[in-house]
Amino acid sequence: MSRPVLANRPLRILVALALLAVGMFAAATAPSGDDGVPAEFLVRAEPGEVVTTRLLHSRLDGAQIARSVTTTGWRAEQVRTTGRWVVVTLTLQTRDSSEGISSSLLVIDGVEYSSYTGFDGDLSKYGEGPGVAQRGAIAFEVPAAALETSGAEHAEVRLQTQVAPKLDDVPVFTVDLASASRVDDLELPEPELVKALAP
Amino acid sequence: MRAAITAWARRNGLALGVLVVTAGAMVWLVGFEPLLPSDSPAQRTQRVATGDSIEQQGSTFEVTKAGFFTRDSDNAVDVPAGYALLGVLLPITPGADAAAEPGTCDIRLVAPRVDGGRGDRTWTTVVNPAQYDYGLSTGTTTYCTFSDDGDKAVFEGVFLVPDDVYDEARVQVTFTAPKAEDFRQSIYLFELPSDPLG
Amino acid sequence: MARDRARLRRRAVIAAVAGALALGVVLVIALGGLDEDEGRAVESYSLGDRIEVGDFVTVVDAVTVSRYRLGTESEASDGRLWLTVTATQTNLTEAPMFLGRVRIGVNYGSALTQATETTTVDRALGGAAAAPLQPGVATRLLYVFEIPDDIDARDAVVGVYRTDRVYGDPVFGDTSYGSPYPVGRIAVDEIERRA
Repeated sequence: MSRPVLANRPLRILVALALLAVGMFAAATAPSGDDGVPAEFLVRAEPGEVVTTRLLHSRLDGAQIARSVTTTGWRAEQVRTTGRWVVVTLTLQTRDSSEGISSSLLVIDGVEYSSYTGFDGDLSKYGEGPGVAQRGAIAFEVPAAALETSGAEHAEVRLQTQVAPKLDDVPVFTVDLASASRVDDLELPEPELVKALAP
Repeated sequence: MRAAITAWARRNGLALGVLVVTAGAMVWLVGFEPLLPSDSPAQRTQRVATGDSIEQQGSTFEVTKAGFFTRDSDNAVDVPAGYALLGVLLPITPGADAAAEPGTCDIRLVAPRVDGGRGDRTWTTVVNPAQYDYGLSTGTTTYCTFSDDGDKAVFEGVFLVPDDVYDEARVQVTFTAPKAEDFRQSIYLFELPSDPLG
Repeated sequence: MARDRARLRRRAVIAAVAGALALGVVLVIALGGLDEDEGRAVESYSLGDRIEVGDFVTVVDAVTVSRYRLGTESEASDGRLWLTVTATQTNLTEAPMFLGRVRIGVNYGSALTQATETTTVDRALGGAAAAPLQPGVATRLLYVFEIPDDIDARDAVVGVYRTDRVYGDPVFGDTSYGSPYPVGRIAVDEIERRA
């Protein structure tokens, strides 16, 4: 008659330590909030394509680069930068209630730039109700050097309605900024109503 | 036998005590303590037929007139093809026993979704209807308000919508009771008149 | 007997190892974790010097005292003046940085008259919003303070602070004081006075 395996003391200690080690390993490698588990879903598209995501129908109509932007409206002002303005024209239509895209990002070579909120007439300040499409522009301030890198050929414009969208889909347009037109000063158009992108 | 049971109970007395206390606490928390959002019945939504009025906090609310204007209407408005301005008049009449602290109210336009999604579409009022050549009536207010001087107020809401939503649209008025009534919410969906102006 | 001694020895070894580990953990916690502390020295700079710490760069270009806010017709309240610190700040990280993190403060006399709260931070090159700093873009900013007009502004000292780190008690690491962590101090001898 043999003794049960775990009657052996050293073996019990070894098993306990092994379980402890496994437990610590699991705890150490468990996903945390920053690990991309609740990351957003990127829905990619080219300029000119209409993208439908949970909250929006959107289309990137164009991108231009300028040293200064002149705003229209009652407080017209020329806004300059030591870098460059990337002005992106978009057509947006929400799907169930009005949304704002002021948390949008421009990503070049992994560096994130947030959209400038200091223009009165930019698209992120307006949000029409569902079914109503608007065309307008948002702008990003970037260092001039960022536009000379190879990454500028596939820069990404991410339209976000929140700062950190979790487990939600985000339209992402790939733009070639290296060949975008460049001007000294660009007048920022106020948003206008256009034909709906989808019923 | 009894000796064995007593001995077992004595050995495990502490564990048994913990079990009893824990089970009791669980029953009490789940059954009697408002751990779960208990007292908010799914916000009751009441439908109000055309021509009907409702009373809230001593004031009467009714949709009396509606208009639906496009660029091709007799009273044309400056919106692109495919869109329309939907206007509603909603008089708010305080009764003799209007509440001193009536809480707040909020007015939106809702319609079912047509693109396969869940829930409704919701529109809020246009801040400046004049930009579309829509003239607001004089003396109306553009936000929902309980009167504080005993006089009737007329809410005029203008919504920019696709031009095919009128039949399915409803005016949604959400009342939030004051703190004394736990901020209880009531939602009413007013049907629109079948013969809008424009 | 030999087995007892061996058992005791085993237990002593285990206890010693456990004790050393526990002591190590306590020490690490007490010393504020394994992060590097960049030291508490506050350096002195002059106008125009490049002040770099970790992830942002500040160059204080000028300090101006005036009755009317620069570029506007907004007059200071009675008995007060506008003090404007013009600085160029650059974010060295790869994501936008909020200005609350890169504060500039003014000390115009005694510790009692110190101020790190500005009336506003304006973008010098136009536009209605200053924050946040975009990566790599040298951004010219006007930090505007309202100060009593009976202070001798020649005593002004401009401080550059970072608020992602705060002063703590040097012994117990208590961070409840909440003072922003000073990075550099600039004594200003030339204050430009304007109308």
